[in-house]
Amino acid sequence: MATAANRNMVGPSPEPAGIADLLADYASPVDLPDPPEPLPGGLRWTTEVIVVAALVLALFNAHALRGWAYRLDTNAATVRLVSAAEGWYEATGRFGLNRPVEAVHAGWQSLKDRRFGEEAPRPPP
Amino acid sequence: MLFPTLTFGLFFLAVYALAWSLKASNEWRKIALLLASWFFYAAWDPRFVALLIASGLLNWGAARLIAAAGDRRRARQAWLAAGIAVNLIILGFFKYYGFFMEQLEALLHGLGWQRDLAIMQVILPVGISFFTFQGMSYVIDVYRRRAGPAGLLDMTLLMSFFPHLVAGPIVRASHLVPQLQRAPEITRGMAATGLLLIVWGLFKKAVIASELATGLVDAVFADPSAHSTLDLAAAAYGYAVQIYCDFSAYSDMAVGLAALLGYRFPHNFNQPYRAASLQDFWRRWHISLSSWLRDYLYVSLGGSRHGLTRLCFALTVTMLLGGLWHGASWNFVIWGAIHGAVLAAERLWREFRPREWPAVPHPVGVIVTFHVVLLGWVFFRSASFADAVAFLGGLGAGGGASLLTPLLLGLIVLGMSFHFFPPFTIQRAAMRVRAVPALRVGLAGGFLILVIDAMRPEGVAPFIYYQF
Repeated sequence: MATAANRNMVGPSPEPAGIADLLADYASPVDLPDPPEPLPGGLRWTTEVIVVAALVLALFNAHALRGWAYRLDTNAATVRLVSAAEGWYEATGRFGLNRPVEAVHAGWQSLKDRRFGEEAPRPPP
Repeated sequence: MLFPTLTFGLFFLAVYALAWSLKASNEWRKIALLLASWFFYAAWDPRFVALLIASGLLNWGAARLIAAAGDRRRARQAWLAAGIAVNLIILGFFKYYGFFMEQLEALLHGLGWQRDLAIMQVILPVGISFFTFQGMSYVIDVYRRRAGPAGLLDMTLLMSFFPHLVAGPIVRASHLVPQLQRAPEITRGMAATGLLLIVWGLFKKAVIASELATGLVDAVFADPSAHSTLDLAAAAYGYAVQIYCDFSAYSDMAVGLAALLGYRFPHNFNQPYRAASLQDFWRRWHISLSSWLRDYLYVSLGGSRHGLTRLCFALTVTMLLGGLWHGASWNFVIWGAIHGAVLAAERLWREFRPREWPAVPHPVGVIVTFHVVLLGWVFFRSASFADAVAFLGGLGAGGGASLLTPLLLGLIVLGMSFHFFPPFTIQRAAMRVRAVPALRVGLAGGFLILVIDAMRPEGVAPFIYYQF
């Protein structure tokens, strides 16, 4: 039950054609061959990616924030949190930012409702 | 605190900020990660944090005593035996006490004993199988001189580190402790792969695994006798896809989260359903467990060093115990027995196949192997042996499908197709992503998560392997 993946790391990629063999030789799936040009600032780049993604989610996914706040155990702090999340949902809604998620959700729901042949769609749970 | 939840997302953002703000002092950074890991574990049940700490201390102490014994073989063996025994006692009590007491009670009733035994209800700590196996491998590695004794902080963090704590991968001391001993760094390649693995894992778990579970698998396995042949067949294939998408998703996210904190976890899955033999399957499925079983159990049972009979015995016993590792149930034992028997049969076939007979074509090997695995999954998923038998019996009963929808069928096909993608697709994508400006990657990542979130069902079920 030995695995090539458990072997030690090796050096940079010689040729892209052998990339699968090279990747199989790394000890971890997050090890990659060195890039042709150095790519400095790994931590800064990563932090920027996370911050931008978090902002996108905060702006366009307010309904998830609201749903999460409502599921918290009720106490004085969470009541304030629910109120803030509700306010944020309304604010983003005013600018139409909730529509992309609602559109994808509606599209996905219609896919879920499809049936083979002439079967009737299942009633909603 | 489940990975695909906003609560965990906020927790991780705080840990990420704290960990990298402490990068000037590796010791304080590790202390912060240790406290965060205990907080993460306490979210399930604060009482078991003490068990986690005690387990770490015991394994650290056993390894220190083994190392201190120097060349005194008997002393080393005694401390090794004590270390393993303590781990097995912890695992045995929490995981197998109830099962063995129930079997004992059934046996006594069979012998005419009419009174019921007083059986305690023992709560199973999440992830206990993973952290005790990790502790045992550390003690054995120190005994075998494959790893030096680690410091207390490194040892407790090795066992408690939250990305792998509750469902693996089983990270060995020889892999993680050297990483803990130096200041971590993060490259754009590591981060890009980690982020892709997190988003990919989120899609597999929150969309495919959850949809298949709620729309098909749970209902059919709950009452197999009430469903048609087509529903049963769809549920069997659906569960094969669900368990892969569920468990590999956890591993992907664990590897990705660790990478964002600067640590490299090992591979745990490699397109397992493309395997053309069961031996190949176990090189691709839950790699950290299969390599653990190979190195610490199969080899200790003699492995391939004492002839074919001993090898078949070692294979079968290893897989039986591997089955029992998953839980105290006869169905897991049967699952292990199926795998052990087929592994032994494959070995015998390779040994005794008449040379003039042609080799099995590769696609046939893939199809046969997958269906052996599928048979095992029916026992693995069924609540009882009777349910599994009813499920398999119902496959020949006939009747049309009533639960299968175009979307569910599409998800099964999609989940199977992942196994036939070009190898290392994520890594190849990451090699491109790492060169893209952060703003574009962040926007793309944010919108991908948005789409996944819009598709997922309300709430999220725990990962299947949390129960182990």
